[in-house]
This record gives sequence, C-alpha cells and structure tokens, in this order.
Amino acid sequence: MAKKRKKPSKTEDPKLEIAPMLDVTFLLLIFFICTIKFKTLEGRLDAYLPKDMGSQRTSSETLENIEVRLRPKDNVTNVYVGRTLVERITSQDKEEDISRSLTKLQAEIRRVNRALQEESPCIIDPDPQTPHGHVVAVLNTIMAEELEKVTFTMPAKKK
Amino acid sequence: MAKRRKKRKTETEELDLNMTPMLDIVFNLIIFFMIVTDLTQKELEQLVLPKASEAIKDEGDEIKKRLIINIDADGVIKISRNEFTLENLERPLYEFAEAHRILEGPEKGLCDEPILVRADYGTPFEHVQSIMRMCADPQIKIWKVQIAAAQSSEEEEE
Repeated sequence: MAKKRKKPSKTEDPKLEIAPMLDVTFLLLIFFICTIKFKTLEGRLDAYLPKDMGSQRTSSETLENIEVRLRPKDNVTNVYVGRTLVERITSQDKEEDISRSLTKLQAEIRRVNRALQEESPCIIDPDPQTPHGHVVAVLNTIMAEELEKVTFTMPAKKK
Repeated sequence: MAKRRKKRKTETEELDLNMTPMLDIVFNLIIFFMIVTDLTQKELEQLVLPKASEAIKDEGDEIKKRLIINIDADGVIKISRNEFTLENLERPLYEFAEAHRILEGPEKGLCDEPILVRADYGTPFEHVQSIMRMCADPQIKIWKVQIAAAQSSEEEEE
C-alpha cells in the first residue's frame, strides 16, 4: 500500500487517448445522419363509419344516391357513375396525382349532383381488387366537389 | 505589447486543443439522432401513398394516441413493425377501442380515437375494406378512420 501511495510523485502525466474514441464517435454520427429519415408530413382523408351498428347489408336510404362504381380489368380501372362508363384510369404511375386527370368524372358528378336533391349521398362501390390508389383518386375527386355524405359499399363478411 | 510577445516566444508550453466541448456536442448529436430514428421508423412503414389534393395536412405528432395500420402492396398488415393477418387483427383493434371508449353521454361505448390506415398505392382495396368492416363491428365500434395520402406538390408549396 505504501508503494502505491508513491505513484502521484511520478512525473509522468496520465493522458487519456481521445483520438480512437473520437473516430468511433464520428463514425456513429455519420451513420445516424446517413440513415435518418425524418417523419415526412403526410396528408389524410377523414372517413366516418356508422356509430350505432355494423356495416349495413342493405341500404335504407330513401334519397337518390350518386353511385360511383370502380371495376378493374387488365390494369385499367373503369369508373361508372350509375350505369354510365365515365372514366378509365390507366395510370400505373405511383408518383402521379391521378385525381387531377379525372375531369370527366368530376364534371359528371357535378352534373348528377345538381340534378338530384341537395346533399344526396354518394356511394363508392369499389371492386375488392381495385388498387387503393385508384379508389383514393376517385374519393379525392368526389371530395373536391364538396359532397359531404360519402360512403363505401362493403362485400358481405366471409365466413 | 512588446513584453507580451517576448513572453509567448519563450514559453515552452504545448498548445493543447480542448476536446471536451466538441465531444459534448457530438455525443448530444448522437443521442438526438438515435432517439429520432427510433421514433420515426417504428410506426411508419416505407410505402408509396396515393396522392390526393384534398387531403388535410396531417400533424402526426399532435395525435399520439391513434393506431397506425400499415398495409403494403402485397396486403401484409403491420402495426408498429409487427405483422398481423386479417384473422388476428381484431384483437389489437379491440384492445385499442377498449382503451379509448367514451364512458358517458349519447356516444357512450364508442371509441373516441381515430385509426390511420396507411395503404400502399397498389394495395387491393379489399384489405382496407376488411379493416373498415372490423372497425364498424358492434364489439369494436371504431368510427373515425383516417386514410393516409401524400399531398400533391402544389399543396406542399402552399
């Protein structure tokens, strides 16, 4: 013990080698900077489901509806308003905002909406295999016409 | 002034760079990046969201309670990086709804918090439909559903 106490009298200064730690630290920093992906601000479309019941099997609406049907076939989605084929969505470009090109659909919805009672509900009836992007484009077009009552049809639950 | 110069030249002291403040900053930066990367990558999967000009700007951080459901192009459902199938998705939905039920008033029993459905552009819509159907189930009663969409470039500029 006595010998150990003599240590401080030695003239050598104990020095911490910082260089390797700095190297590692900077490597970590560069790694995190390169891998980081900041939370990109996204948009959202709000939808509300029925509050008091499950999905309805039959419609009890007495008002006339605007019915928009989406039927995909060979990478093309046909969009019908009522029974009329109005639009064909051919775009597979995920970066494109398709809703901007759906001018015929927008015009048809505006025409039908004016012809029907005010606040007539709009029912979107997409085929289960329709790409989600095409459904959102149609929904976006309908929302641009400021229709407030928008509902989706649902296939019966598989048992 | 002349005196000072003379002193400096004669002194034998080594010039030492003080590393401590730099190390502090670097460590702080590392901690920051570690925390941020964890938060951002946990719930949001890498998906191509469909663009929608009518989409409301989503202030993600404001709504911390909501449940985020990711569906990729192949229909694989993920919540906080955990994979689910349509068969076992009812459980997390039910638990989420139970935790956020309205206890009083005319809307008693409903789930007050929304879920966010983040589906890829190419996801068949049947997967989104199935989730909507589950939410509307009388046992679950989630009535606020948000559909994630990318804002088109013109909206972003605004």
